[in-house]
Amino acid sequence: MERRTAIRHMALLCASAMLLPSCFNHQQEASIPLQQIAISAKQEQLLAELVETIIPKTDTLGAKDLGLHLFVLKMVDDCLPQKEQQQFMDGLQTFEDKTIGGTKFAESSNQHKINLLKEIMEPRYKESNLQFFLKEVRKQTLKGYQQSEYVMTKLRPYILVPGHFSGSVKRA
Amino acid sequence: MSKNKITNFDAIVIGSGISGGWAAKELTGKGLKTLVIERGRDVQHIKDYPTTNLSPWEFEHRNELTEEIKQANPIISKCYAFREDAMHFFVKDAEHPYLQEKPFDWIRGYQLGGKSLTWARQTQRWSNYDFEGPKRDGFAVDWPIRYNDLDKWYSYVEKFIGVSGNKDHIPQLPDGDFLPPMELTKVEKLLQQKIASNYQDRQMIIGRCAHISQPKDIHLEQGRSSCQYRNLCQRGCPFGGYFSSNASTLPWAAKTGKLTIVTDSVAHSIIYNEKQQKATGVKVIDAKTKAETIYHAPIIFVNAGALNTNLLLLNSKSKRFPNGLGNDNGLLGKYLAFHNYRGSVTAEYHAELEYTIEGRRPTSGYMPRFRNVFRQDTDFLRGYAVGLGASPSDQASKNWGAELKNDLLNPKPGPWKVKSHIMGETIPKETNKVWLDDREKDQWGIPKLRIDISYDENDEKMLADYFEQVTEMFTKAGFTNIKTKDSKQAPGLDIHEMGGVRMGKDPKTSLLNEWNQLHLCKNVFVTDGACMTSTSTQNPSLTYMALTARACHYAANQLKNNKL
Ligand SMILES: Cc1cc2nc3c(=O)[nH]c(=O)nc-3n(C[C@H](O)[C@H](O)[C@H](O)COP(=O)(O)OP(=O)(O)OC[C@H]3O[C@@H](n4cnc5c(N)ncnc54)[C@H](O)[C@@H]3O)c2cc1C
Repeated sequence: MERRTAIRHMALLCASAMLLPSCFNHQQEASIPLQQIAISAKQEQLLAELVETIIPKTDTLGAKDLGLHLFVLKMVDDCLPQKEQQQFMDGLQTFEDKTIGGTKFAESSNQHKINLLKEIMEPRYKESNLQFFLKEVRKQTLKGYQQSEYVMTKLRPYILVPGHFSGSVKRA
Repeated sequence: MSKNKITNFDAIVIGSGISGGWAAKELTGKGLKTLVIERGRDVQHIKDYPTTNLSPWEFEHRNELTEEIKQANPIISKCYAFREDAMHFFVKDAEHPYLQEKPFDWIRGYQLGGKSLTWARQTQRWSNYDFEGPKRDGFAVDWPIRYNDLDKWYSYVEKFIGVSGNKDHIPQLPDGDFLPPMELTKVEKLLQQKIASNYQDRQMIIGRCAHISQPKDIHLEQGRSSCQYRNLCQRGCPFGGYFSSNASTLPWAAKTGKLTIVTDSVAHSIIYNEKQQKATGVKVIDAKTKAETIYHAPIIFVNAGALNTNLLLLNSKSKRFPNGLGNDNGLLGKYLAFHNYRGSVTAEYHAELEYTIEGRRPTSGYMPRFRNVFRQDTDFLRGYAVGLGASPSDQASKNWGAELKNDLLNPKPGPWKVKSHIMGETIPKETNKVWLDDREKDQWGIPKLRIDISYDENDEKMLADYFEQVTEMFTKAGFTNIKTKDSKQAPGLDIHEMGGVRMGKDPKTSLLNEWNQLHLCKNVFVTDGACMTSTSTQNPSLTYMALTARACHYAANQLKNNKL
């Protein structure tokens, strides 16, 4: 909360000093209300890139279309204990600073992006907040995707009222 | 007290949960003008099930608890059914605090229907091996009844609520009046066969559950229909597919025109009249206004849920009974017991991968007690039943990007996930007890309950045996990746707390007689978990219902013959 207020103050300061677009862009808050964590618009954009890398648009909608970066943020904000929120934020910051051969994540090729994610999952990052962050994003992205209205109605229909139970059915 | 309120009835039932709902049905069925006193809010069948038809994506956190809720509710959050979809049917920690001498997770549902809305609907009968337990093994006191006393009442209850099950011909788990059984899964059937071929003394069956697998007229008359295999029961079922007071007994009782229900009404104490040597009524506090009303009736059934029934009787003090109603021997609130649910074993099975299931089954596999049934054969007393289940899984993907997406949309079959949990009998002891705090009171002026209940060495030995035996059974079935886990959960989380007002033959060593009447105040009946002399291993509610129906018929007859 404190950080959020601080950011808001800074944004106000910047805005009143001179309406620099860079300052504005940098300090703008996330597009959904968050209570516990402070996320800038820029971080939100990065997360959108990240979830889209995890589940990209193909002939069906991808994570960005489904707003899963916002779902991740909501889950982290509401459901993670404070300590893990801190780890998540630390990991996010580390991730922001990551470049791939000098190129920022968002501007890298898809293959490079995926390579970076695979690298972060390697055992040498095991105890790191960076890996914690990525695991959490992946977990919530998958959950948000699989339990989205889109997937549960269009791609793998959820049946609210099955009407029967069979204990052994041959898989399709 | 409002002047025009009717306060005289033929019978009063305190609590509207599984047992109170049955008391209401039976007493009104006998033509008695019956009042049900419920401390919680009104919950009408279907109308008050706000989440019942929601799809997963409609839950803000996809049915997960928020950290805020967990922090505010460390106790109730431990209950697996306390999730976004059914939170509104549970008591939050701050609402009704109690005092713990040792950790005890008291899981409650204060509303019309009590915990009948959220229960897991497992309904296994007791056998004589259970009723004879205390006598044979020398603990607690002898039950004043045997299986023969309850057999026809089990049938009576099963027919009405609808119990799906298979006739398995197992001496320690008598068959009932069943609707068609639900099916075991492919790998559960395999486990069933492996167990049958490896062990003489063990049978795995499909769990008997209070679901209408095929409705009979009696169910249709209740406005209930077939289970739809949604397995969203804890939200309340719009089909009435499972038994709850709200879907079944209470509306049935209402149809007689003899039923009055007051909600938001906290029973404070039972009033004893020394001259008449019986209870004459119940003092009730309005949960919201705190106004006091006294209701009168010649018969009082106490069905507030085991520990609340203890509390209510302990709080029913009079000159004649300074330590609580009927409590001359000082045993009220003592010899409590519960079920040990601490242990679980998981495993995998990597064959039969071409098979899956369809629909969501609201029960699972079950293995009745096999230890110490016919004779004592281990170094611990009694034994445990085992919950067993095997369900198909999707292979977890390690990929990223388009490949991951493809894996999620077209999952490859993963191993069958096998699960088991223990349901162990615990031995009632005088040291496992509850009493009224002498200082702290709740907002209705009722003393808070102090709870002092713990495991003992017998429980630990039994748990070790469970781990060993299930590991062996799983190994012999060809399962792999077998893992045992002791959750170390506190007593209470099993939600099968029992005793404190135990039945027995002798007023010196028990509180209730064979008809669930207080030995020393014959027009007060206790037929919820508080009456249980021992716990055995079966999920207890079916037995509470059968005891309630039996006691109600007795009470109504006694009243008719001017004996109460
Ligand atoms: C998640 C879950 C799973 C379960 N699974 C099973 C299962 O599979 N099989 C099984 O047999 N059991 C199961 N149980 C336990 C089962 O729900 C209880 O055994 C059963 O509900 C007990 O019935 P009861 O009538 O004694 O109490 P309840 O159903 O708890 O009803 C008691 C009622 O009394 C009211 N009350 C309390 N105090 C007062 C007062 N002072 N004045 C007025 N009203 C009062 C309460 O508000 C409540 O409505 C489960 C429970 C839960 C929560």
